Amino acid sequence: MFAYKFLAAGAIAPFTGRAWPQPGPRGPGAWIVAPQGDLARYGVHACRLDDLSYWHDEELWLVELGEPILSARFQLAAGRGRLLQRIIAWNAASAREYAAACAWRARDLVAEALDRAGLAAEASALRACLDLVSLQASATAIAGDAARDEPRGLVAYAAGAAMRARQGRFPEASLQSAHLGAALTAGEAGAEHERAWQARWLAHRLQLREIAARSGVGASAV
Amino acid sequence: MSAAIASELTCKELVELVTDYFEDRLATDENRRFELHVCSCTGCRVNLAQMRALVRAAGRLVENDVPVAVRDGLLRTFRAWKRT
Repeated sequence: MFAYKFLAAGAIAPFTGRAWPQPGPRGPGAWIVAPQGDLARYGVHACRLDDLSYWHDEELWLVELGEPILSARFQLAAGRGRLLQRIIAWNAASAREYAAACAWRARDLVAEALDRAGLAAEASALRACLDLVSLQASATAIAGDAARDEPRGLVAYAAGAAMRARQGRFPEASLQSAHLGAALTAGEAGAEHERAWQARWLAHRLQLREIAARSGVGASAV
Repeated sequence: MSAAIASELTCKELVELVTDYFEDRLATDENRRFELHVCSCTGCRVNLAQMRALVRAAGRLVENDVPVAVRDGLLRTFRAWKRT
């Protein structure tokens, strides 16, 4: 099975600190074999496309997983895995684009919520913003001291996402947008809906399906 | 960052769990929630990296590595702290 994996710079596993063998001219990197024990816990972890927005890091790789493979919430866990190809489209520039996309997505969601609450002027003010600086300022002013469960207070999530996007902090920008989704629906389903939107954005922007197809793994990529 | 999502760890909870995480004492689901939070929070990622570095560095120390003046100062601080 083929999947995706975020790693720290240099193909370093972010939690174990292990350096993954990288692909070279002669083919994929060497297999990493999971230690014995609970596969969910100690297996080689990787993402389906839908999981990507939960596991950000500096590098994104196309990986091959070997049996046994456990499909769990948020991730896959396999008995072994190896790196096939780095997704070079995921880099500092596309990460900033991603953060901005999350902020604008949050803007659109809160503008709709403001419209539904009869706050059309505030919604229009947000929609008139053309850059992240003005979005952050406008959203901060609208949110004011309102509690985050009030329609005006929800705008604080858009302000937060814009601020993080301006700082290039894509994990927090996407998290703000997911929090907004949860707040709008009073539940985790809203957050998961936003994470799914983010994962689709990543798959489309990074052309992950096309890359998998070019690599000859399209049919079995998750 | 505080959590609006019920099942999500907060930064404060992560700090409370970090020792158990290092010692591999979290349940599998809790371990995953811990790591999910780290992937969404730059501050906690930095904190975790610093804690790892601290554990590595402290693990190499022996008592004689600590200068006497520093050791005595630390002991005075700890003893005073315990009385208040």
